[in-house]
Amino acid sequence: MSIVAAVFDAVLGLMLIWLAWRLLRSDDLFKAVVLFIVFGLMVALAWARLGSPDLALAEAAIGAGLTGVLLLITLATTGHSAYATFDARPRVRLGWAGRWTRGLLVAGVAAILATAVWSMAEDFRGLAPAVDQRIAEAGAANPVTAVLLNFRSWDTLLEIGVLLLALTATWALGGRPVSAFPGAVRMGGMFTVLARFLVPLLVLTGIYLVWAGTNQPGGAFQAGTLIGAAGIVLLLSGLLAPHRGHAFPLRVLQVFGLLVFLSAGLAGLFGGHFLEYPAGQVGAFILGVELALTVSIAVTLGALFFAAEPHAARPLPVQGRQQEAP
Amino acid sequence: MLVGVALFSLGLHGLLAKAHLLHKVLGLNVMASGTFMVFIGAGARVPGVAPDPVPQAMVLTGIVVAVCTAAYALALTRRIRDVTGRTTLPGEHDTPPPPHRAARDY
Repeated sequence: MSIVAAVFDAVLGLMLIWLAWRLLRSDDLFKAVVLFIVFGLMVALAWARLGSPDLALAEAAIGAGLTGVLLLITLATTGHSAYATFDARPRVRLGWAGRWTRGLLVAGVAAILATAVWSMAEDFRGLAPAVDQRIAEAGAANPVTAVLLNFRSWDTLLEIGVLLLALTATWALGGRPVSAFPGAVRMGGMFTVLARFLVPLLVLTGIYLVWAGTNQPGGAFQAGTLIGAAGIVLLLSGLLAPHRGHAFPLRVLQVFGLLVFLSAGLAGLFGGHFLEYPAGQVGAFILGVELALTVSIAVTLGALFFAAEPHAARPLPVQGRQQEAP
Repeated sequence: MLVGVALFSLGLHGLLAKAHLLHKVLGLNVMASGTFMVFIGAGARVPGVAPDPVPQAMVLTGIVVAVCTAAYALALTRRIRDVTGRTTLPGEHDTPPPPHRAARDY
């Protein structure tokens, strides 16, 4: 490794720690969230340095982009009170004993982790040789895609389940739809003009990513996030207004990916085991599952941003409101 | 990998020390990034050899699960704010919210 690369890595590492420290110490929540987005982009850079372009794409789109947007919208909708205008000053109140216990706990966890990491075998090559050996049968030349959709497809199947679960749980909370918050959305004007250019570009990039994903970095999750982001831009610009009629088709699209994945898995039952694709058609199966997943991920992530069910025009009653209002 | 350990610990401290729920979500996400960093670092230790794809696939899953968790936690934060008028957990920080604006309707 050249000296320049080593210095770059060291600076990147220190910068990550410094950013994390600053964003967690900051008393200004808006600043903390912006620092978090910068932190996410730096993490993406670190993935690229560690030879994982798939992760770099996912981190930039999901970790920095989508999480950042979710944080900002929550800040915009919860921060507008005199009590909490971007102010994170409240700390957990503890006596000196509590503070010491907390400090020791964190330091202890850090020490144990550092020892564990330090004592790992030097020449351990993990599962890479095993993957290399059978990559030819996997139906995808990109080893990460091969692991995600073939060798360990159980993980990915359950992951789609988690995505649906998060959406169901969020809907169960019955929050107000984000569009009901004035000022938070409906940006209009210049943004609408920008959105007209941005949306086709995002969708096109997404389609490219899922298409390229089998052989190059990219795949359903990165692509789904980009297309989901296109949906969020449409919502923000007011070009798309969700209403009751959207509820049913949305639900169908959200479970579509899981259903296709499950039926592809069941199709494998005829030849052998669950999720074991028939030999010779593995590539086609993986591409089909990826395309279906992309659609579902895009719609689910967009819906998570929107937060409330399209047909839930009336929010759940808020208890305790009466006592608070004078 | 040591950077990962440092990030995990910083995130844990943020989670325990900050009362504002949004800050706790930030702490949780920084912790997750630290975990991922240790994972990927362990898979990419031999220079010049292509990194292990298995941890990469797992971390990709992890990133998606992390955003799901964050989205749900933030939805809970909004709900807690709607119901109680504050953005901290009861008992952790005991300044009463100002009554006249806390329960403002949008």
